Amino acid sequence: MSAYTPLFIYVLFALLVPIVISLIATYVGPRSPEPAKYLPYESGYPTPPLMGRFSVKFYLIAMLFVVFDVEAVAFYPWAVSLKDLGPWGFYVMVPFLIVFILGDLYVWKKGGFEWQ
Amino acid sequence: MEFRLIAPELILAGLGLSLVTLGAVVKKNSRALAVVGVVGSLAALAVVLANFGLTQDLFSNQLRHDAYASFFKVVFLVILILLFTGSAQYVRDRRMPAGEFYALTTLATLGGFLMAGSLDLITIFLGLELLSIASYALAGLLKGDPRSQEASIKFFLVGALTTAVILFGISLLYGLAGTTSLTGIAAAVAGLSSAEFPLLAAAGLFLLAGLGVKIAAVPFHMWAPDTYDGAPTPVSAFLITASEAAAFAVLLRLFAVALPSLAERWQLILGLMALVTMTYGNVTAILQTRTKRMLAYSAIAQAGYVLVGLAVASPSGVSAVLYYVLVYALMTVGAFTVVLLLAGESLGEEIADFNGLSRRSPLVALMVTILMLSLIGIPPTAGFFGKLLLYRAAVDSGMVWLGLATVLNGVVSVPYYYRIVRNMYLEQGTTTAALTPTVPIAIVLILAVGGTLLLGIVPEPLARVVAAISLTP
Repeated sequence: MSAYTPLFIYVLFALLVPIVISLIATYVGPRSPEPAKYLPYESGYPTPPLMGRFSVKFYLIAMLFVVFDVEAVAFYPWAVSLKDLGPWGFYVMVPFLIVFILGDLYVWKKGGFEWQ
Repeated sequence: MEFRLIAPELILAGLGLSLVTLGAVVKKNSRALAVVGVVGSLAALAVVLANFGLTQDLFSNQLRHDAYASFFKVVFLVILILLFTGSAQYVRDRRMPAGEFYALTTLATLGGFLMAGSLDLITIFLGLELLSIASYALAGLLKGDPRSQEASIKFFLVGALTTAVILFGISLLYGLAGTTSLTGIAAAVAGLSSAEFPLLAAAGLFLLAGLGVKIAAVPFHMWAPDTYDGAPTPVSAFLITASEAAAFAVLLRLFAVALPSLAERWQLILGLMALVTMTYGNVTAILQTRTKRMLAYSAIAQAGYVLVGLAVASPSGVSAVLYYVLVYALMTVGAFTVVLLLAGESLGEEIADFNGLSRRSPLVALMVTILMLSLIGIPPTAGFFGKLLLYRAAVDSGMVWLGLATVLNGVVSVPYYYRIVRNMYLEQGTTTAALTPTVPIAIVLILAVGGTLLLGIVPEPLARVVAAISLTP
């Protein structure tokens, strides 16, 4: 049981910290109500009503974003540890890059990057 | 050495990537893609055949190269080559996205390679997902056709649920054995106490249900008729042959290598599953009026025959399955190629479209007759010999009732296969214009029908090959 004590302490802290921060923000922070603060905001665009329709094109953009984001994420740990990995680490990444570029080419040729 | 043994996989991966890129760049010429696909698959087949006899564990036991895996790889590539050759016209006529069709079929085949050539549950699962996800997209490739969309959605929803079920089974096995390697699981399972047996049975049940969906065994078959009927014809042929064969490859390995004790205890369950599957498929197929739907139910019935080889849990059962899987692939691809040929004239969807075919092309009618005789299991076709091997495997392991059920089901299947033959020779068609197959379709038909006849008349060489293949390392 004692092996789990650090875990319990950790969970306790994980719960306490947000609660304490919320309480401090509620009771200590200054307040100045302003109607504009309660309006929806979307990167400068005029926002559509919340229950309105979105263009289906956003679906494709979201998919592409997920794909490229995951691929980009794979590069970070590789870039950081490339010095230790040496040439082998570089060559291992080449096939990955080729697949990545081919995917890019495919989306581009299929018109995935065009809004129309 | 390792790279020589996975060269077929590398070729297929490279082929899939080049096809998808070519498909995006070359928009007009879909026949060129088919040629690239056939040449690449032939190269992979040559390497698989050259490496056939070698046995080795690869990449920290993630992959295993042995005769069993090689045999399935040969089956997959034969299917792929025949389908690529026969479907070029269909792909063009239906305006299917050609690059996607050829690339996804190639990558799905690569998934089958991983499933057949691995003794590790994680790699098997990866292969299964590669095969399945490509198949979901393939089933929906006819974008304008609502029935193709229905096929894809049903397949995807059932398939996603199946993935969860299979993963749960794998996690239970891992919990019991502490490893995902099939040989490691076998060692751990041998030392289990009887109190832990229910957990093992649950794991086996989840895996059986999950893979049962992939082979469309009753009671996990509900998606199959709609998907096989609505999917583009070459895709239906691929799903019925290659996808089911890959699931059988995994089922046999799983039960023979990892869970032999379960396979022995479950002989009756698996036998009943085989019996129900073949009977349900055959009886329901009699009622169908659409060609592909009839072939879909016939596929369920044929999966039931193959399950006999799994139920008997003996080496002779394994060789019978291997023989039947290859023969079934030839017969089915042949039958679907005839549907492709008729689809060239917007026919072939209904069984009535076969009316009067003997007057339009006596040769094609004769070939269809041979294929149907083989599907029933009448000599001198390969279907007969395949069923004979299954029957003998069942009788040899004391399951005489299952052997008899196989034979009786062959009789039950006569009406619907024979109806096509009767329609061709005895009914009047809407047209009597001569029907000449295009050269690629003629080649596929000759290969498929020729193979079916050859393996039926001289079955010994292949029978010797499959008899020498063993599952256990």
